[in-house]
Amino acid sequence: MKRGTFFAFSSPSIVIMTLLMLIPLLMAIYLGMTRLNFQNVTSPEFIGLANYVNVLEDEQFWRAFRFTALYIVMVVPMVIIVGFTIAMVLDQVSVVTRGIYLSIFLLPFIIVPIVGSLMFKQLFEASGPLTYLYQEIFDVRYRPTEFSVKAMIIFYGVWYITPFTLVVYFAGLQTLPGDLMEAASIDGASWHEKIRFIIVPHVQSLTIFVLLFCIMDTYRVFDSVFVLSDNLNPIYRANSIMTYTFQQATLVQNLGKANAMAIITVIGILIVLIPNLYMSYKEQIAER
Amino acid sequence: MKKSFIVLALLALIVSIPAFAQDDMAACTVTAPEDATEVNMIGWSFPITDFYAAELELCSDVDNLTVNTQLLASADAQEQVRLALSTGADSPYDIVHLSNGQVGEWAGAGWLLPLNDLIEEYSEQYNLDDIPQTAWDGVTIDGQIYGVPVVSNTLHFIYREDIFEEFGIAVPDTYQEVIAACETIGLDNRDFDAPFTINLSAGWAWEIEFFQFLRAFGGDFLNEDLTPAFNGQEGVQAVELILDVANACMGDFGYSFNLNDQEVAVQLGTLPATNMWASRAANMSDPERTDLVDVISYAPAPRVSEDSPRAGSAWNDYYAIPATAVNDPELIFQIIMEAADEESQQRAAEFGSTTRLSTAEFGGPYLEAAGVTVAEGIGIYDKHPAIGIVRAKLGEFLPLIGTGDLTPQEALDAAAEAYLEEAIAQGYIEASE
Repeated sequence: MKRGTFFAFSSPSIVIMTLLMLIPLLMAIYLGMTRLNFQNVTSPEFIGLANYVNVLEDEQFWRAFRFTALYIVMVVPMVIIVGFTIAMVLDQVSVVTRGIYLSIFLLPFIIVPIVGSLMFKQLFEASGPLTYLYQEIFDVRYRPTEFSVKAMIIFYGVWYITPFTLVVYFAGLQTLPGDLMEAASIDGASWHEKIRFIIVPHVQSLTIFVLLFCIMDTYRVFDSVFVLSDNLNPIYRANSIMTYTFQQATLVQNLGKANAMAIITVIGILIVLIPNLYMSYKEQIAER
Repeated sequence: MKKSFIVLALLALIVSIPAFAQDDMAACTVTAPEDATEVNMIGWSFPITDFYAAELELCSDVDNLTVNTQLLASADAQEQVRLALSTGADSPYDIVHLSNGQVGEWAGAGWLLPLNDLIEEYSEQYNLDDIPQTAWDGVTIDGQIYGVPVVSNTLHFIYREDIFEEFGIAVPDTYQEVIAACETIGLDNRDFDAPFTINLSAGWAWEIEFFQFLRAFGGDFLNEDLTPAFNGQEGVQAVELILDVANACMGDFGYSFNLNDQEVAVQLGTLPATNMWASRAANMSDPERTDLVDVISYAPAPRVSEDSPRAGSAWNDYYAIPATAVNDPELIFQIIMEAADEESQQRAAEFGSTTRLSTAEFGGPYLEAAGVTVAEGIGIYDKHPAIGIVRAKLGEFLPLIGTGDLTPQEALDAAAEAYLEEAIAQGYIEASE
């Protein structure tokens, strides 16, 4: 392809990306270096790296980081394992059964995140059905604690993201060569060996893709944390990096620090994703 | 013939329904603007402001006029207003709801329009002298009036008469008596969520409770030179008493109770006592919301010691006009007055405590307790713009006491340090001080 043609085709997206991503990112880097609140929005004061240092020294930020890391570590493997397992099962059943179950499993994916979180929260409210059930079974009133709220946020994450991995893996399984599986059966491969030596390698590139997206998605968790921790009630210590950034910006009104936090978050996610991007790159090269 | 008659009768009925409905709601008397005008209001929702929003929207019946109202949770509404007004660009809102806590910050930053001229012009028409001076004082800075008082409010004590009788508990007058009552009922009493709660579910909630206890102990947020005063002895005493109450009455679970949870728990009968805003108390005497109307009682806010003021502040909610509102301020003022006029406030009294003296007789059973709290309480927030910084910083650090991360003194000192840094940066205090 001629260089001119390449730029003619790619320039619209480059311009849009620059306007919508690069400029706000550069602005956020600059605003992170200012003392900025709602009183001086039009005339922020430049203070260098003070906000960035402040963020890195902020114990609450690191607590939010630890919970976000825990959330990623718990949710991502679970959605991959559960999504893959359900996809495997659906791949084995009849088309009609598959259609019904696929529709059911995709429901969480269709629901708007904030609505899903609210629905989930209502189950555990004072007059909620699960609260009633809990009381009936254990004969004590359900009382939210730091552990139960965090567990609920993680469980909701698994419930909400699994349909995504399910769809991806299910699509991947449709491309699995039948003759390969047949040959493995003739050679006496067990079900476990087929999964290990044929199916898992076959969907490996998808797994990297899913991993990449799920890490990004879970790193930015906001809605469910906000709703299920009852508008960030401090007693639950369930702030994620995103909700803590939001809290700094809107409630504490420290917009400069919030911008610095957002930039540190971007750097953090890049650090997490670089190994995945490298793996993905190697995969692409190997496939050529 | 018979069919035609039935059709005609049905038509007549359909046409007459809005007319009957209209009887209940007074028509909007605002002068119709010459051009199509859209007026947007933003505020937060509780029973009486829901009523006012409906009153404001009645003005959409006026030619060329549409009034839109948006009621959110209080923190969300305030966040939207800050985002909209802080840039100095044309305001998307023509009417903003604020309470004492925001007066200093918003008016001090020049975000609100002084209403003196309009109040003077319309004083007679709307009988504005009927609103007590103390309510106007709460929204006046340097002689400029920045809002119209529409709600009177305070946090007062609400309790179950039958349960208190059953346990032989007298209505507490001090927080020491509240703690004793909690010990009598028992923190582990399985009939209840907790014996008593105060709202410590968010940073801003901590800050409000702290302010009330602090003032009742004789302290204040700021010294005269605007240096922090809240981290002194009275501040520590205030936090320690809050913790004593929380430990004796709420346990860990009580910290999770926000205003809505408190309201629902009282209505369901799982919370024998709580501190509740007068603006929410109307929901406690509504038989459609609770079966316990006859046994729910109201008392003034407790004191922090026998000879202290009551730990309840005098709050008002106001409707104000942003300085950058694009529509005619006179038209907007008239629309606000549709909610704040006598006739409207008489009907509003059913939903909460209004501001007009002439509407007191129309209020609910909580009014007396709320009135005593205000009269014997700690007064209103200081209106200096720096108070906004104090509130934000206290809201950031006070919850860390509840989570056990900081001691009361550490949290207050951290808030004081953060306040000083910001107050110096914003020019309220000289750096050398």
